[in-house]
Amino acid sequence: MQMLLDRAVDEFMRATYGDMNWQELDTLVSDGVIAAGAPGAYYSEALKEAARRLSKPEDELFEDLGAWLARQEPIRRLLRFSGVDFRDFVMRLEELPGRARMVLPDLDMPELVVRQHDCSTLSVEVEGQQLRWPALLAGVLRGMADDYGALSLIVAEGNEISVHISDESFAQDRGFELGEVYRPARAS
Amino acid sequence: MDLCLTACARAALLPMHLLMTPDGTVLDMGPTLRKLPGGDAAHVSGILADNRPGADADLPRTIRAAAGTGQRLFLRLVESPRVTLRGHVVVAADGALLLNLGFGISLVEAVRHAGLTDRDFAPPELAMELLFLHEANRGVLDELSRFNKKLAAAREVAELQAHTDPLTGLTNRRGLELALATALRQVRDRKGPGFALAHLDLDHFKEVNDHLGHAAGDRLLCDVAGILREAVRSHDTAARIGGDEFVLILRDLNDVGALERLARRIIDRIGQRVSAYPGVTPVSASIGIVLSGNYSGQPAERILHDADVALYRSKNGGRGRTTILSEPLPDEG
Repeated sequence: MQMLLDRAVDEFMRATYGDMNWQELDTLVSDGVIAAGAPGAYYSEALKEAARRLSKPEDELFEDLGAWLARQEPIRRLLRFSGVDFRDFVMRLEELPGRARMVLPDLDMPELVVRQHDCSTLSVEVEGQQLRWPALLAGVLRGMADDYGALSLIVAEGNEISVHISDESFAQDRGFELGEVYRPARAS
Repeated sequence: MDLCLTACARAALLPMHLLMTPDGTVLDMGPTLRKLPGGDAAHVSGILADNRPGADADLPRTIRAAAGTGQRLFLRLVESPRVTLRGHVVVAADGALLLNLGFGISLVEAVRHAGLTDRDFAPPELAMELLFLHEANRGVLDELSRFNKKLAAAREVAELQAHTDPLTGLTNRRGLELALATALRQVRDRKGPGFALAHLDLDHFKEVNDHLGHAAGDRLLCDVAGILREAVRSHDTAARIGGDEFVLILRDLNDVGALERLARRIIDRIGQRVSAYPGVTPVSASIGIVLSGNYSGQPAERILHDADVALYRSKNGGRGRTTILSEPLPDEG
């Protein structure tokens, strides 16, 4: 579980901010984490340090991570299982923590409450006080809106994310076939 | 209250149903079943076959019997035999039989075959959850096997490092102990000429360190390591066990003449290399050699001890020479 998170963060940083920058950070964070004697803190420390260096607010970095995750084909496919279109995906977000627990029992994902305000505005409340989850989920929502080809405005504030869908089929849907199982290309 | 469903409601509620007469003539099919190979069949045996071993060839008879007893039907598609289906049949109005079908574990296969989507399954069906789990499971397993490979590689590197002298890249003392234990086990298990163990020490090495500094001393040690690596064969072991002391394990070698020639060659090459260090008493090496054949059943420490004594005889005898013990030393004390 921890290794999965570490690897996701590691790959995200490499993909987004380039190898050079990251390797240096990597060493620094590893040293810090080893010194602190808490290997489990790796990914969260890494992101904290990265945010500081990029002079970017931490939650913005978490949002980028969320959007990046939603672009990774295996994860994108798993997310596409919960919704035939973007609106359906948002409405069914309440199922997401349960699905996540089925796959990764250790992932401490908070419960979500979805509310519909009018036909184009919804909000997602993230239970609990962990403010990184709303940012991460806002990023995932942003990534999935692109994936479904929907034009929408997604804003995270406190533990609530508001989603305003202005055009359900604004751009090309990236497509999702149930039967096509993604096989990653092996480098070795 | 008896319930009557319109064809439209039936199709929406049971997308995988088949309505048939008692003799098997198809009256209607749900939209998802229609998408499957054979979905245009006029008779039930054009789309479905009994999947039980030794099944009755008359499928309508089996279905009629199941409608009477409430038993499950185990079916498969005629055109895609790998797609298996579980069926449940009841008697509907006018004696027609209403058969509802579900994919069992062949769901993944069926979805791929017929290009089914979320909308092809009735909302209470767990099909999407099963597909989701199937794919998620594969993803997690892929990741796990990736981590396992990484861990195995890291372990290999760590093990190698634990048995390697970081300065010269030769085997270290721990690695030598392992190699010696292995060599002794091989001698015990299969008869052969046995191995020779050579203990080597540089002459006047301290002078190099004192006059030219530790960096030069380290360079010389690396040069010596290179000479030893070249002198031994791939299945031999060359180790640095500390300071300027080296040990060689030479497998399947008990010929005294060959050992003397090998030792001479090593001493000469070290001498040549050392002459490149100016202002130092020309140093070379002294060697003590013992043969495993003389130590049958004896512990490794005894062999190392005798090699050490042989080395000191070489040193006391004037350095730059080799002593080969032809028999074990008498027990001390």
